[in-house]
Amino acid sequence: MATPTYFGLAEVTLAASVSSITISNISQEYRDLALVVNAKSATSNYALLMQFSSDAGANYNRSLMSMGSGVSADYNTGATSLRWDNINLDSNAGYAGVANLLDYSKTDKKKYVLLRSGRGNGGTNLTTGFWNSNAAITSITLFPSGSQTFTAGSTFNLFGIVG
Amino acid sequence: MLIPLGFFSGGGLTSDFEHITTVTGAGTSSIIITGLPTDYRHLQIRFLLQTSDSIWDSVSFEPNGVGMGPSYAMQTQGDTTVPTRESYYGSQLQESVGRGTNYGAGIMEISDANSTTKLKTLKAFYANTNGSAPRTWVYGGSVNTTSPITSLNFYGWNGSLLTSNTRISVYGIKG
Repeated sequence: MATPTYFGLAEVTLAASVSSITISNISQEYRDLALVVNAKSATSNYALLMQFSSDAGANYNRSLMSMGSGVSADYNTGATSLRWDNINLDSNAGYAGVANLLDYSKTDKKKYVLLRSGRGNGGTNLTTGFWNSNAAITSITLFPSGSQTFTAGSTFNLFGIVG
Repeated sequence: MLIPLGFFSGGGLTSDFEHITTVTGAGTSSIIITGLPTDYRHLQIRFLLQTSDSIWDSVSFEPNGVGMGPSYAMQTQGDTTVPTRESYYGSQLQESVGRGTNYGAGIMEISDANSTTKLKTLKAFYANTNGSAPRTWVYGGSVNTTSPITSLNFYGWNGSLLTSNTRISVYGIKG
């Protein structure tokens, strides 16, 4: 029998600038997670970075297909965080995206992330990510690169998906 | 408190996005999901695929046991090469799915899956990002049937098996 599927787990709206946010104690009862971000940084031209379960080791891979004035590609392996894209956070136009984390609570497999994002002043990205860990994802930390800050009004919503 | 995204109507909780089924691999050559309800307008399939191949195999996909029609993909090459459009052949869906941690992960949607008059259109976004050359795919294709989609068949392109780490979840979207 079909059942309702999307459940809100956490909602964060920043009242003031912060250098990072962490969504912790994530329920382990869902199959996938969806993280929706609408954020700005205090200064333009910085990326949005993500870490799972406080892991700052060199355990993140990423592949990017970027569509702006043309199509381009980028990648990196063994990074200390998962970079959402190379269209950077922007102080004026803002940035929005959704990340799908598959089998986030499973402890018998590495973790895959599918990211779609765009920036208000141009550019669409498809990014795929990999966390080289069998550990369950119990927390998600997001922060701008370059020790920048998220500005007030930035929003972060986490959903659990039944499956 | 967990808050389901839906609405209350007539004393019951309803939703327009619903989980239909999840199937995991069992070391068999194919996974066939049958009996899909036709009261959803669209279908979404969320998958992690892994084959028994020692290096890699592709995974093929046939809705209703019907081969794919014209299909195209754009993929990154694990480097900075500019992606270009490629024609896909047969029912090949996901390339480079092998053993170890080498999964294919993706989300696929079939629009108007319950239509009795339209050829079906499929789009997918998927990944293979664990190795030294992580890749991103975007894929679009058609299915040569006007019948409602009631079954899905996944199998190894070169005959490899789908391991127990494979997971396929199907969701229905009303509309």
